[in-house]
Amino acid sequence: MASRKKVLLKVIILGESGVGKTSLMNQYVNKKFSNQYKATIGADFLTKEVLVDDRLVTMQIWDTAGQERFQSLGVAFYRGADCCVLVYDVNNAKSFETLESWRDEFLIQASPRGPENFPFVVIGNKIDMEESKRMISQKRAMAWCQSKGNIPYFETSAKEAINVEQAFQTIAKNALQQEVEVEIDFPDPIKIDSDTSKDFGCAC
Amino acid sequence: MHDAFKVYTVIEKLPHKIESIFAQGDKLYVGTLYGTLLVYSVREPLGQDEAISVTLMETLKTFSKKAIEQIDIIKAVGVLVTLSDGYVNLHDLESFALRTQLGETRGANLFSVFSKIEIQDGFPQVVTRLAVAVRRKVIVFSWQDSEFMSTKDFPVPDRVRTMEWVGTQNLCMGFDSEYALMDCRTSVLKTLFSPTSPTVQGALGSTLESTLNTLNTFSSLATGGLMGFGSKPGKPLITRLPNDEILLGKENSSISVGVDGMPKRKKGIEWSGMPEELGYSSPYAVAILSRHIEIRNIETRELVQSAEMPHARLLTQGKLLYIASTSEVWRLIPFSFPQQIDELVQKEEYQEAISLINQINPVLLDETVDTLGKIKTLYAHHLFRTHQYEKSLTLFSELDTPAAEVIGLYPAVISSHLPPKELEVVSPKPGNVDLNEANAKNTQPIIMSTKELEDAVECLIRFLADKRQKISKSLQTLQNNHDSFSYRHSNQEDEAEDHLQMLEIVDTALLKSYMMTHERLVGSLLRVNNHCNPDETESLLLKHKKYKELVDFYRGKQLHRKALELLKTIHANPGEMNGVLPTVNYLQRLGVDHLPLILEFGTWILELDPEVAMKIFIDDEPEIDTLPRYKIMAYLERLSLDLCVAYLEHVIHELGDKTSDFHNTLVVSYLAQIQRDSSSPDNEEDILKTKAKLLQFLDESTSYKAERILSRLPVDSCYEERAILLSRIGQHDQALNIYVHKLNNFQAAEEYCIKNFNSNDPTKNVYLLLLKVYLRPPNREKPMLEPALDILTRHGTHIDPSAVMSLLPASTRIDQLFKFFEKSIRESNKTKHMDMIVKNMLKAERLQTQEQLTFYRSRRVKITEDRMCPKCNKRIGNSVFAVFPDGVVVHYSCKETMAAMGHWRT
Ligand SMILES: Nc1nc2c(ncn2[C@@H]2O[C@H](COP(=O)(O)OP(=O)(O)OP(=O)(O)O)[C@@H](O)[C@H]2O)c(=O)[nH]1
Ligand SMILES: [Mg+2]
Repeated sequence: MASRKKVLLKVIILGESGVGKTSLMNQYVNKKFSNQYKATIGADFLTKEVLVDDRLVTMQIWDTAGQERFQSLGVAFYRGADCCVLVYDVNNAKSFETLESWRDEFLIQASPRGPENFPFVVIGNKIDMEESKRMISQKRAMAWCQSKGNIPYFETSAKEAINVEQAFQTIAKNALQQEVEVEIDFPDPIKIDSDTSKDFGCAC
Repeated sequence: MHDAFKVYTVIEKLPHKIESIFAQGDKLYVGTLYGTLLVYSVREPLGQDEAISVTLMETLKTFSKKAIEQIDIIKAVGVLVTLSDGYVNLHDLESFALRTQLGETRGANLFSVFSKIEIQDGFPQVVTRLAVAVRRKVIVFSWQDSEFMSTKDFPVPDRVRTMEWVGTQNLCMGFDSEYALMDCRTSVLKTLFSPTSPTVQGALGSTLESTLNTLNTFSSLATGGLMGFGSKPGKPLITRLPNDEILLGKENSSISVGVDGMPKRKKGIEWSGMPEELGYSSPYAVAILSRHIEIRNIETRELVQSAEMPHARLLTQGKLLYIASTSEVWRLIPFSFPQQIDELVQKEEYQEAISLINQINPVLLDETVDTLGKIKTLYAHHLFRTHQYEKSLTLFSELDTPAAEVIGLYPAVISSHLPPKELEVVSPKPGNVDLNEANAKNTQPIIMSTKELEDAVECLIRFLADKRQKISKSLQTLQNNHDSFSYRHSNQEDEAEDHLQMLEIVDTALLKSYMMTHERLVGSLLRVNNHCNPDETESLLLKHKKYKELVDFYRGKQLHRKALELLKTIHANPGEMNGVLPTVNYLQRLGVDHLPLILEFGTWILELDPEVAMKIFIDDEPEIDTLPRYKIMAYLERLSLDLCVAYLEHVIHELGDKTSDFHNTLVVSYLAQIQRDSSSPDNEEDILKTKAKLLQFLDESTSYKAERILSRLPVDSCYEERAILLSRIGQHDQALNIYVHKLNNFQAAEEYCIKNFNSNDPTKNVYLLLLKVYLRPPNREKPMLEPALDILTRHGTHIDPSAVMSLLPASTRIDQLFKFFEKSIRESNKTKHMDMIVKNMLKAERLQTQEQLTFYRSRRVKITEDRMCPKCNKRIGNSVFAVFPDGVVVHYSCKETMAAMGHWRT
């Protein structure tokens, strides 16, 4: 028991259905990828411990369903998020064009404390596909990110594991700046036996 | 603080010294120092101002020889239990005659009775336990219903100072230095903590103490004794609470513990002094302190009531609360709960009121749930008034308070859009609580500093975000229902209408809140599906010069004309909305449904900045594809020739449109451009460019109608164009005429022939036509022999010599024709030889075919009288038959079977 306070970062991934949100999360956390598409229903999360600037933090990554809109998850779900990841598919123009409304909806639902500085990260996924299929140029995406207050932008492939690690590292870092220290509930805060008290003495 | 109990004096100046009291039903039992037992009947007053009626029923002077230290009753057995002279005695409850002296309790200093109905073998039974502390052991007597079952001894480490049952199996005991819980099934004793705070504190101890809540601390048996040194020891006090919870005294505090020995509540009660005695009368904890008594809410730990009761030293546990000194007894009767709640609400002690409602049995209140909600609402208002916005808004959210009521708490910058009736907040009146006073306070506007208002608005934003989602959801459900039950819906429509109204109130307030604290979110709100009131939004955004957001809002609300007019008005302002581009972007996304708007608002931008503005028609947005090209063409034609050309070029070259009208118009427009430009000599270059485009287009496009364009060509120019058009309609002689006579371009004429010569159509021999042009010029001009001879020399083979001869003037020198004849004769020889070869080859082919015919004819079968079919062994006779390639003959009808048997597949 090194420290009683642990940092928990809540990260929410949003974007149109099929852009690869689940795949990105799976690649990052489990280092796995599947070609099969299974639509996410509701929301689900995975956790991962990450080292950010020599600090060990727990990232709780919430993957959401692109098929449903915000109504189904409820305001409470978005509250307390430390970072919001907007994902689109570089081969699908519509998925890029709707980024703005995902962002708008998030800001309104989550009502973060400082919406002007709330950290977003944009990911253009599926860059492994043929160049001829690409619909959104890097330039265009970066211009958009710039216009929204310099949102960090990454181009990734969940399939080939390109840039995924880097993107999530930035996500963790930016989330940490937002984070409030959360006390992780100990299962039994009352029970103190003599061993524990000795530990206390030694810890100094 | 409020009045939870009314204090009545029951006994005054009793000459005997009171040692113990016990109450049950309307009976009060009093035990004295000299062994007298007094039994009173106590009737509660019926009305508020009536006195309590107390009657002394029995005086048993010689009940015991020594002081009666403790009294209790075991109802199921019908006995009065007393402790006197070191023995526990059981007396008949009616006659007070001694039934049993429990001999084994000799030396007892304390007992505790507990009864509970338990289901045993399917029948409810009253299980009773009597625990008696005798020096260093505890004896437990058990009854089932009225039948005595057993006794059991449990050794304990020290003399028991106080004890209470926690359920029928667990006994909580207080020693001088320790509390402990004993499980009577296993005899396991679990130590809890000391009733005294340690005064000799080691470094470890203090760290532990300060890190954790004091109540978590407990010491082992061994150290416990030491810790008591040097301080006035806390007296162990135990009180039973409902649900197997017990309250243990620890100096000035009381800590509640569950049957597992774990603290049940986060914090202990802090009394103003060290309690002498502890009691519980639902839902309050009662403590006798040195000069007075204190009554506290167990949940909130707040002081509810205190009363001066000098020398008080005894109290009864349970529903009937009596407190006694050595010569006085008081009865504390609770005010009715509705009355208590009223008082708390009057005093704005909402938290206490809410806690009280939560703790008491709902049947004690009228309409509990309702009342609770109403009081919570009042509390939320109170929190707001006392500037605790975060708490207040969280509670409002939890209560799902109507948005208008909450928004109405804010100053006009936020709330001005509320309909007038919503502005006067009508606070709900809980049950019989009179809240006029509270109401008056509610309507007072709250004065806030700017910073405070911003904080309050920040909280409101969250409330509103929550609200808009809730309302949208329920609206959606309504609409879904509506779809499925299309008949009985007038009611639902009203409801949906209400929802929309609420959404408008919420969204408009949200907009104003954002405008105040987070301007950047204004855009977000207006871009997503929202219900902001258009007029409010408009004036607010105009005031703050948020034109981009206003345009987004208009777009979302389909108020396109307004948006476009705004864009036009502000196009000269500096900033991101400057110029025509914002309008272009807007128009690009409108699509065919709004064509009149596009054309109307397209005009000013096309006039101002045609190059950029043309993007409304020639960008690759999906909406632009839907626009009708004819109409746009007509529109642009009226507006500007050049734009029309640009548009048609896009439609034809980029989009590959083959509509002939577009092609015709483009040609005509080119011509018009040329004509227009020729009026000034400076436009030479433009004309050349246009001409080149025109020629190329005439040459390449196949979709225009040449006849129509011919009629529009100027008579005295554009010969090349005319030639192309003439050739399109097959007027080769005229076309060639132009090349030769108007343009004097013999090479072009020759190229024309090469391009248009078609050897399969001898009637239209362009070379012959060209010869005619050269040799039979109109208007009796001199025939042009030179170029004619050139053509003959180069292309003479394509022309019939006899036709040539008739065209050539008689004066032509024969040697000039030498090349022609040579080529011509060679050509005809070549043709002749070629034809002979072909003839001979065809002859050979014919012979071969004849030979093959002879071969096939030689194959035959002969059907004689007795030719049999090998399949069915019948005569072939006159039947239809089939012959296999190997000559086998079968009936036609036997053919398939024969083949199936493996004979030749036919
Ligand atoms: N080529 C390629 N395919 C990918 C990549 N990432 C995801 N996919 C595929 O895209 C499809 C959709 O991926 P998901 O991760 O399920 O998409 P999602 O965003 O979670 O979709 P919803 O759950 O419906 O919101 C799957 O078939 C994936 O295999 C990638 O980087 N490259
Ligand atoms: Mg998914």
